[in-house]
Amino acid sequence: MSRASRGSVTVGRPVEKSSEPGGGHVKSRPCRGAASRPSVGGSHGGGANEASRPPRTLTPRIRRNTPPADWWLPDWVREHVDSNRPVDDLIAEAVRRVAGSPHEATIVTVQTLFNELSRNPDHAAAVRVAVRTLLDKHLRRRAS
Amino acid sequence: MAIGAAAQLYSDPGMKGSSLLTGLAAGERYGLLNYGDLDSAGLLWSVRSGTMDSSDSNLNVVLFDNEDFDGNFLQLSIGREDHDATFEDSGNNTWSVLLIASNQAGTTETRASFVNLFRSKWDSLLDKLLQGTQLSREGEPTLTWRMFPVYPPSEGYQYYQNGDQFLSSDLTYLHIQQELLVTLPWYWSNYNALVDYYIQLFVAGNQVQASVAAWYLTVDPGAKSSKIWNLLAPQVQSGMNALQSQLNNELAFTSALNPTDVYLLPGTQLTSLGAGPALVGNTFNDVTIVVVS
Repeated sequence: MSRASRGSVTVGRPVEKSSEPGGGHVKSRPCRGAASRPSVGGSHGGGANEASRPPRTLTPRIRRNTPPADWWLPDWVREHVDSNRPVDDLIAEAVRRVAGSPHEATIVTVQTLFNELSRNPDHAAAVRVAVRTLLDKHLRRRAS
Repeated sequence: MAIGAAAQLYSDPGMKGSSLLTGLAAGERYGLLNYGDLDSAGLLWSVRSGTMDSSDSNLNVVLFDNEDFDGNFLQLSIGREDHDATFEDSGNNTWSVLLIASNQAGTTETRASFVNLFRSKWDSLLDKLLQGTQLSREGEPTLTWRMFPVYPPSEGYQYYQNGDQFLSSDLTYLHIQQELLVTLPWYWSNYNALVDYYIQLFVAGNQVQASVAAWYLTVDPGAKSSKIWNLLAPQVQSGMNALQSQLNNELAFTSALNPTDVYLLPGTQLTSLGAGPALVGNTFNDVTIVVVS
């Protein structure tokens, strides 16, 4: 275990300049570690006795990032797209909606929208600026 | 809902390329980005830079070389007082990512290495149980974790491990894996067997407690494999009780901490990490148990 130089975190404003990428090479599928022997020979097991199980309510608070399978564009997004308004306007509208209604459904909708837009590097750059503004306002206010 | 922490991951250095926005609500512990999440954002094998923001807790973004949150990892962290930060990673091979909130405001953390806490106890327990049998411990155990196991594989090309079918994809587990040597009388060749135990930690009765959720036994293939498995399996199954009892003995110290939660961090990290050099490790070497008070 070591704190190595492969990556590092720099506190402060995101820096726009790009750095040299590391040496490129073709990646193979990762090898499994010691705790992953293939299941060959006699190989099976069992679960715990019911009596020894903890209460079902004791689950960690987790967030998954996979969008719902039936997710599609909300009407307000569709209106922007259909009227050919600039992507920046759509991003600004999304930020406005989150700032005005920071609820689970709104945040997840905007997060899904932003991630779909961010598949395009140009849109990702615009999203980054908008998210920066949003987080500055939202998180700094909570921290202060 | 209050946003507690957020991260943007980029496919290229310098916050360029395609990106993925992810985060945790205040009070949430783990955020999961699996193979499919990364692939759909163009980030599979390619998380090269990013931004991190947090206000309520330290934020740890852990990049794994395997797709099920184990194996080699690179952990990037910021303290809640750091607020925002950027990172660059030049040697990326990311197949899955965990966001882990640690050091949440208003809490105290006590950390213990799973290896330091339990390896010698495990050795003693197992050697005692195997005394006088044809079985012996083959080396040291692997003390690791199993995070949010997916079984059966449902999306994309997902791994699963022996025992996953008995576990919940919403939970985290400690995982003990031990190789055993089965000594057979002359003139048969010896066999190797592999025992797995999966353990859930939880807070109850004002202390952290352990529950052994599943066991698994694998025996080398061969003509005697099934017979050996049938001989060993009852012992492995009954060993759950001894293991659970021993683990709870080792966790008894937590009763003095008035714990409210328990969670896991990869590798050995006995102090809370903030911005700085990344932590590099392998989950198969150790796991850190964090008791929250």
